[in-house]
Amino acid sequence: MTAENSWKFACRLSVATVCLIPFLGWGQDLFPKGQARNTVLLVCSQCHTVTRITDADLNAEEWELTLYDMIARGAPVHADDLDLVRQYLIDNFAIDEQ
Amino acid sequence: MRDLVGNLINAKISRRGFLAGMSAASFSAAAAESALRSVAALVPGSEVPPNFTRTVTGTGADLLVEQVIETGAKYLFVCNGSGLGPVCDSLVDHPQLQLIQATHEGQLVAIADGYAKASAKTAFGMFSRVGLPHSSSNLYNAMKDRTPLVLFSDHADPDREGTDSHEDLDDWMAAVKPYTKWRWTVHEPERLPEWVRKAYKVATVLPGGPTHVRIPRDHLYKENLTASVYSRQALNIPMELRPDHKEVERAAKLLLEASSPLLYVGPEVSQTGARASLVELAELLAIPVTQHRSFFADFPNFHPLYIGELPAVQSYLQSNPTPIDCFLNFGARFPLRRKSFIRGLTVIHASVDPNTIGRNTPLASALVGHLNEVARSLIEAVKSLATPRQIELRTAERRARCAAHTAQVRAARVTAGRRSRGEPVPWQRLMYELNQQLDRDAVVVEELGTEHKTLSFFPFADDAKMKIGRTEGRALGWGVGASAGVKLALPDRQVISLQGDGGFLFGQTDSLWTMSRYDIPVMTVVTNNRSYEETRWQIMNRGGRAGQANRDYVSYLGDPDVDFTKLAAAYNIPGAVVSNSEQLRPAIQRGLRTLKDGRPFMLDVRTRNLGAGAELSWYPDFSLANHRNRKV
Repeated sequence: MTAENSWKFACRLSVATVCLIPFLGWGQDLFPKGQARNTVLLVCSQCHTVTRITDADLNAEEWELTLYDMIARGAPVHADDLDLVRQYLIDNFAIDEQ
Repeated sequence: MRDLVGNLINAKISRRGFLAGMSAASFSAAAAESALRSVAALVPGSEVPPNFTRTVTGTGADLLVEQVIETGAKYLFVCNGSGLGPVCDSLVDHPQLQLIQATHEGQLVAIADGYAKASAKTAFGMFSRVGLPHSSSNLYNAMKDRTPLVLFSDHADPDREGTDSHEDLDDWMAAVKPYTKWRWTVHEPERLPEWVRKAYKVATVLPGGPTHVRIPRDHLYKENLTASVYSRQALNIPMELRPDHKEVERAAKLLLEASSPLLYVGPEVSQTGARASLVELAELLAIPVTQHRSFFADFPNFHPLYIGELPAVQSYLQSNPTPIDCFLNFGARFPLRRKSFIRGLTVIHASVDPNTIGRNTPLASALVGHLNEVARSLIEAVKSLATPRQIELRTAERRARCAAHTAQVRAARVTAGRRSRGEPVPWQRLMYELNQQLDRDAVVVEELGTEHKTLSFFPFADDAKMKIGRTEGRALGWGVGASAGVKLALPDRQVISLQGDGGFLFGQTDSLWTMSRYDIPVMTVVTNNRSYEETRWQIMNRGGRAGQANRDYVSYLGDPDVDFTKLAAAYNIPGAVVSNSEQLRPAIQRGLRTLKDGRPFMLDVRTRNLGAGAELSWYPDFSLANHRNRKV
């Protein structure tokens, strides 16, 4: 990367970060800490609001299938992150059917 | 070039003037000479090479059939109509033209469209004079895709036309004007070959499109007509227009100087046979590739540089530290203004269609020409501007980064498909299993809601599977007929038709009749979730009154719960219903064995619903039976 491009990128990254702060801050309450938290927020919010996740009424098995469905439709999860994302969603959002 | 040919034929310019004009329009000398040889026969007063024409005497229908055969057509797709009578008479003496019959004009056009797309040849069809309105939905799809079709119908006899009486309108053509590239009503039967020739030529020249010719029935029956029928050689005018070399050099510089270019591919790439050259260009510059919603896979979708459809660019940008700064559109009609990351970018657009270039987006560079020529020219220009070492230095990091990203995303999708299981069947498991079971070079004709459903799972490339569909017009009711046409064009490749239950119910049962009658071995796979998914998402996700009330007025299809294998059985087509993922593999294998035996097959896969309103089976309750005063 040239010096000029590095500078441009840094500027754009700063702008993006500033724009993302309120969103992540707001999401902090709804999305507990976890290894895949930021991946979930970034990947899922590309196509829909993250409240779809918090409002969903899914058990663990349904969360797994929903994640696979979303990935197949184009949610850009990396293979290395797949199981982390699945576990994060189940641990934090799956309803207990008992 | 069209103007030059017109001027030459109308004696407004000399042969020398024609060659000079072609040269000025960036045609090579060889192409210009070839074009001149091809059109020479059409120039008034010129000597026509003896093998360019032959004289035919017969009925009007004989003249039509002879000229159709001369274009190289193997099939004439027809729909019942009394105007077909004279053509049937002619076919007694022209057995080389095979009729393929459809039971509805809309499906006829779909079959012809699939045939033209898969064969890269112009398809011919004919239907009744009153069949034109029926044909128009798939005529619209064909026009949107620029598919070369020539469609004939009969027409009111001259002593009846224009009276607004039985089977006549004042202006039939007005309704289909936006869906046809050219249309004509014949009034002189001796000129029938001329109009057939013109309809073929106009439909075929890129950007192509449907043409329509109406012929009074008594002209088709009229006997002892004599006319010149032109050979295929006289009709093949080379159209490989080369782009302006200065513009190519400018575009090549922009691409070389870009820190983060993006290649956006559309259907013209496939229509001009430019895929291989474009792969070479993308690899040379390590340009990530994204796909316009196209009825072809215009770039190998499992290539390390292929990042997916346009929304996938957002995720690529997360792993790419340099924002996109140069957007190279190859053969797509697309309004770039809607994407925020494209705003302010250097945009280069290459197209065969001058009407398309710059129409929606201000451009830094415009490359008009045959896309294979454009790609070849850009490769040459890039190589002349930088050494291999310089190119490698600029591109190595981008190449590695993009390949790592696409490999990760692709692996996740395959894993997602493989792990999905249950009852009803997750659609991604269906796609995974189909890809596992189908031949490496199978053809997938799809009319599903989103291309991701196929592009994510099937590797499409020149030496792999082929994707045809969904149409750019997206008017449902195309895919089943189209798959029959595709199989007619490619009889030695496996063909499957991917349909939604909603899409299939758009009047596509008719094409099962054609498949069954002619032993067209296509496997129709219905992803049956008993719902119009996209409609449901729109209604339920927007938070409007219907969504808040949990009332999905139009999307639920489960009552009546259609068994698509029973529809197929009515046409003597075997099938299987699949309810869970464990049943998938044996059912697909049974279907493929049936194809091998030369018969079509229906696979009705009950698929899982997802998202807002997935659990709803509500619809506005109404029973006419309960509103009767007399139980009759």
